[in-house]
Amino acid sequence: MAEQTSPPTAHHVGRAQLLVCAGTGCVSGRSLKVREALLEEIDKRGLKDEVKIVATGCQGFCAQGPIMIFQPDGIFYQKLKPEDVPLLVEEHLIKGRPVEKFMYVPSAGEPPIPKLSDIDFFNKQRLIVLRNRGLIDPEKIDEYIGREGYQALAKVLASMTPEEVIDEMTRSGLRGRGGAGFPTGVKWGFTRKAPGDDKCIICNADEGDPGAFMDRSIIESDPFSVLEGMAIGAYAIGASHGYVYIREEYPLAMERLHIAIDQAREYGLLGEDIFGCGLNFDISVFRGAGAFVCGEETSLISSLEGRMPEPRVRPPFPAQSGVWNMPTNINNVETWANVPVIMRRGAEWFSSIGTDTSKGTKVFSVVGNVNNTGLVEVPMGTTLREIVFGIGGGIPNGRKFKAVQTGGPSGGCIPASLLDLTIDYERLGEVGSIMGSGGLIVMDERTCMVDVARYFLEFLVDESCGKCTPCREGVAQMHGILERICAGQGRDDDIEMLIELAEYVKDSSLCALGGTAPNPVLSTLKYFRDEYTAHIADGKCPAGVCKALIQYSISADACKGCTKCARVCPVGAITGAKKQPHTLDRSKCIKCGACYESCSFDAVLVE
Amino acid sequence: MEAIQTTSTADDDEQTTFEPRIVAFLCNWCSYAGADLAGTSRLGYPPNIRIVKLPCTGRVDPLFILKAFERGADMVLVSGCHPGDCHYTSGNYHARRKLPTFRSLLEFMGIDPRRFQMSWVSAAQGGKWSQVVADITALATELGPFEYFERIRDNRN
Amino acid sequence: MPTLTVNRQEIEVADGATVLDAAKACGLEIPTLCHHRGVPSAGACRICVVEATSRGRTRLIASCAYPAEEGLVVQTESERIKRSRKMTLELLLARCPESERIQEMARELGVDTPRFKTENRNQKCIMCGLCVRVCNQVIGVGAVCFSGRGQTREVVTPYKELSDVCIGCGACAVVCPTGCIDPAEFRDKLLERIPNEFNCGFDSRRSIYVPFPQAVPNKPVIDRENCIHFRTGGCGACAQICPAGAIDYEAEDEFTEEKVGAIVVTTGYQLYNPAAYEEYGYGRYPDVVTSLEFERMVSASGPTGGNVYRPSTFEYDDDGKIVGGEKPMVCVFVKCVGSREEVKHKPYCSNICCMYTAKHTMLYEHKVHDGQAFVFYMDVRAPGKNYEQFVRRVAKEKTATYIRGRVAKIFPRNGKMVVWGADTLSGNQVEIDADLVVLAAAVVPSSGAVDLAQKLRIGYDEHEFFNEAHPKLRPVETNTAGIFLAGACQAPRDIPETVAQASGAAAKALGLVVRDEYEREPIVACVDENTCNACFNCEPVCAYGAIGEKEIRDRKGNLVKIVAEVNPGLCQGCGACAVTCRSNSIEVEGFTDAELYAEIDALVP
Repeated sequence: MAEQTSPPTAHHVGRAQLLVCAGTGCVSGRSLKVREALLEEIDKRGLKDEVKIVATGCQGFCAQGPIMIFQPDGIFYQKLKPEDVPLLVEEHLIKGRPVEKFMYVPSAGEPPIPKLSDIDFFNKQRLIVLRNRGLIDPEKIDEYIGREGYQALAKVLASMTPEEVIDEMTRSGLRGRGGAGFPTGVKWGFTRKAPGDDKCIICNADEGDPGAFMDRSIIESDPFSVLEGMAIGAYAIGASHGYVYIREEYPLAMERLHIAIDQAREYGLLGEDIFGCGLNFDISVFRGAGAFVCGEETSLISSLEGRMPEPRVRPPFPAQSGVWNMPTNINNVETWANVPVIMRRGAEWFSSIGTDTSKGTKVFSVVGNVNNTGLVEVPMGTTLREIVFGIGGGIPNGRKFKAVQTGGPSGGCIPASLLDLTIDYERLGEVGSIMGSGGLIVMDERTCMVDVARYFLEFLVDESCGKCTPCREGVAQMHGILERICAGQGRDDDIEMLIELAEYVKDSSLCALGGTAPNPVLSTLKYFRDEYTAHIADGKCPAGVCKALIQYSISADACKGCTKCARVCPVGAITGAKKQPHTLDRSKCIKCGACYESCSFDAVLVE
Repeated sequence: MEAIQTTSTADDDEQTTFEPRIVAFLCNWCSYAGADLAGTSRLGYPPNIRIVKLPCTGRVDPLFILKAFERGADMVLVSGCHPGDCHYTSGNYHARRKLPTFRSLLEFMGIDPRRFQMSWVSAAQGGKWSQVVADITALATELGPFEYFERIRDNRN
Repeated sequence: MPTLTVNRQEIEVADGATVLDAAKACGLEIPTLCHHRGVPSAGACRICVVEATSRGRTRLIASCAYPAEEGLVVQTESERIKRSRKMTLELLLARCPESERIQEMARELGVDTPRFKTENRNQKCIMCGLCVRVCNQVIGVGAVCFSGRGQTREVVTPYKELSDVCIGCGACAVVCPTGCIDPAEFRDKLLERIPNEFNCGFDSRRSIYVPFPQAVPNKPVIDRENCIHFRTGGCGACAQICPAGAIDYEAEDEFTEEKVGAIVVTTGYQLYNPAAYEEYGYGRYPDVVTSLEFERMVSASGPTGGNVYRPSTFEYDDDGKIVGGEKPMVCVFVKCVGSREEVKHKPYCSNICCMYTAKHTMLYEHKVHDGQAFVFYMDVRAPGKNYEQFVRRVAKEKTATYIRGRVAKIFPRNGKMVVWGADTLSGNQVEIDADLVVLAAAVVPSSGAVDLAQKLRIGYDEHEFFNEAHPKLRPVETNTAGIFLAGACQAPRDIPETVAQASGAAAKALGLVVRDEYEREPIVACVDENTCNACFNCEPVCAYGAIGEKEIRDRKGNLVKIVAEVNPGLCQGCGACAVTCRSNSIEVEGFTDAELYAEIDALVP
């Protein structure tokens, strides 16, 4: 990847640059301590002027954090600890010998891959939104500008009319990355045309899907691209004010956003008369309390106005009457981050990427039972297989792939038979899922699909605002039925009742939360109905997850008597002498599964 | 009855041939009507009183009183409606404030202030009227002739 | 004015109308729960869903909140709609099995028992939010809100305590479709009932009301002090309901100026407050009432609909109307309460009490057939045509027992009002256990009579009754020309006397205004314009406001000087101005200084 390997433009390059990831994942893995240790070590060795240490935003490969990239060599180091620093500096920086110990190993036994550009996780991605990730210090606007930042805004202000910008956006084929996939250019056009003296734009950074963190990462690693995108949007739409609605749970993102806004103001890239072109536009940050329903535009507006987040009937759409009755355009973080690139490189370039209906790239947060969890950006039309096995590195522990869940809690589960599905809005819809904001949860054979549906519905019951009857009552009833099934008390007509309720909730709900809430149930029923029947009719959980339906036992043949299981059992249900097969007392067993997880010889059996 | 008696004793007594001349300024609505009522009720009172009818005691100019003294009156009476009952709402209030002030001026000039009297007699108080006249006539008799202006005149001559 | 299609019928509706409005205009019935006329719609309950097709997509939408858009195609009846409504009701019934409204609606759609069960079900609340919306958006108070979300959502006041800001208007209880808000829960907070002044405060009225049945004009007025709109800026329900659009909150009271030729003062009377008799306990004991309060009770259009009840036992409906009570079996009437009491109260006889008390005893007998009435009296004064005969009839028919004597004390005992009095004819002390005591309080002038008298420059006596010009000869005129009196503002009067006096006053007033030329007394003041130096000392002393300014101009119209001028129509000729004038420029015709000096000269030769 050319973009990835080119060194960042900085005032002072020196001999080497150490790009330490300071995304949330790596920070929680003590990457800031690593950075401090590096600074100390380099200072000690008098290399302060020659080596530059940069704290970057999230580099995406969160599973391997803390991460550091050693430039200009492009060596990728992973899982660093502060105490590793002296060795690393000594070996690599002083002696010029990259340290294999800290390099990425694709799978046990294989040789380590030193260069970042050779790692599948990175080289199979196509970075547009995340173009600057890991390459710039997200707290320095100069570094963003050095990477062609604000060229797009300059171009737009200097040479394009608002109508031309909207036309360019429409032709680019960019669709809203928040989930619904509404063409961004068309949406801008509505807001521009809506009558009103003042207009407003909002960046929705209230990422509510569990397991999704692309919006957070974008803001943490490249906040300026969002600000530039919003400034371009403000010019095209005619808005004088913008809000970033960000959830309180993202303190780092919020801090970087504030820094970015301050710097942009200082540089005259926000505020009055931007670039001397007469554009007045400023941004304020609104901290949301983190309600899933705020992903819905009207709820977000309601929250922004200081009320309880509740959706309202549309029309009027926010484009006609939004925040404080101003025509309002809401786009997701990822959508805004796409804007500067499209403006700089043109609609034709952008629309050449992706499929017929879905253009550009999409950022997915790949989580679950997959080796390389992290943030990946791939062109639309990439197959699920490529993401799960190519970039994701497959399923750990040699287990079998079962399904992938996309689109967050209200998305659907896609079975192994559809692994070659090319991802775009339409294909995902056809198979009963949604793009959503880009959550992608990989599940292996040890996942019970009824339990998965139950889990997601539990989340939705919790997050339903409770305004309309179908979502408040219907989803709760569906959840009740699923709990019943998982508890082994399923009834014969439960599946029919689930379908009836699901269709009703989908059809009658007020907002998209309710409209998509039945997806986990419907899609699992569509592809894994046999698991439901197994639960209800046979009283069995094929994946061995639902406690009420399983029994653990220890195979006397396979058990080597290592005592590991007996040690982890919290209730002392396993007994046995060393090197003798152990036995499990079912009357004591609480089915926590600790023995099952701990056994190295697959001697613990689930029925 | 008392009033009549007073008159009769005056007739009898040689010494009291002095008959005071009293000028009374009466308001048309109360005191004059009261005097009228006394008459129609056949209540007697001394004939020393000579009445000037005015619309209201508020119409009484202090100069009128001085003029009466100058012309030889021994006593001046101003009588009107009871306070609050003025036909003209407030005329007697004007008189009530103005004339006592004037009375102290009389004292300053050396005139016995008792020679100027005020009273409130309503249209229904015929009896009171005759009593007032009797009383002030008695007082005027007691004070004797008023010769202040005559002395001035004599001195000048 | 968008046009849309509802069940294949094209209809044009007003801007801002909803699909529900359009369906109603087509005569179609759509069931609703969370919708209430006059409250912004939310589309929350989803009962009112209909199928709407626009831009090629057919969706279920909430008709109560969805705007009637141009070209929208709406279907109000279909299997899909029925299915949705049925499921909604089944779910609501599972949550609120106790709500009769939900039960009824569910039955209509064929749901008897829901297949679902809900834990922590709230007996009746369906979370439709009407109460929250009406409180926040209509009344503008914000005393209730939702807390929690999803299943834990509930309607609460902040911290689940009685709200400080709640004004107790009860609008939430009115709009609640399932009747799950009981105003009794915030009884302490309930808006104080607005006493109906015309009914002596026995029942209550609304803050928009017709003052009394015969009011002229017979139109409602808004009581700004109590109106929620004026208190919070919200509500506005009356304006929304009024089909004529006659409610105008912006309208202000205004002063209008009229030039009139005559004024007839008829400000009437009020009752002396018997609370001044502490021993009678009026104001402390509800069963001690004034005669006027009794009069309202026996009125067929009054607060009790003509029934006589003990006020302590009034039963009210939710609207504050009296619907029942206990009939008083023993009723004591006390006359001369305040009248003919020279020492502490009013020395005069109130004229009307003897007759109306006789009437009251008769009405009481008509209303409570087996009731017993006692009348304490000093004298029975019945000097009018047939009056004496009426009183005799009352006594003869034993409608009431007349006891000559005063009442010493009234106090409660065992639920009765004990009346201690004297019977001076037999010389005995009397004690009566009464259910109701009616006090014939003295007649006093209306409050504000003095202010009015001063404004009109007319006289009043020590009791504040207005003074006529002459008790015998000019009984309807005042001392101020053009102002006449009629009725109880002059003295306690009954109806025939009042009508007679009013007729006289009207005739006098007419006699004044129908003439082309006004005849006045010749004795008026006039100004010597040559000597007047416009000091206007005369102006404040004139009780009639007869002094004005006059501009003297030369032939070219240039202002030469300003002098005082007397309006001979107003001037009564008192002469106060003549005495005040320092330059002797005002003289009263007939009482000039020269004439008076001549008179003095003549009197004292």
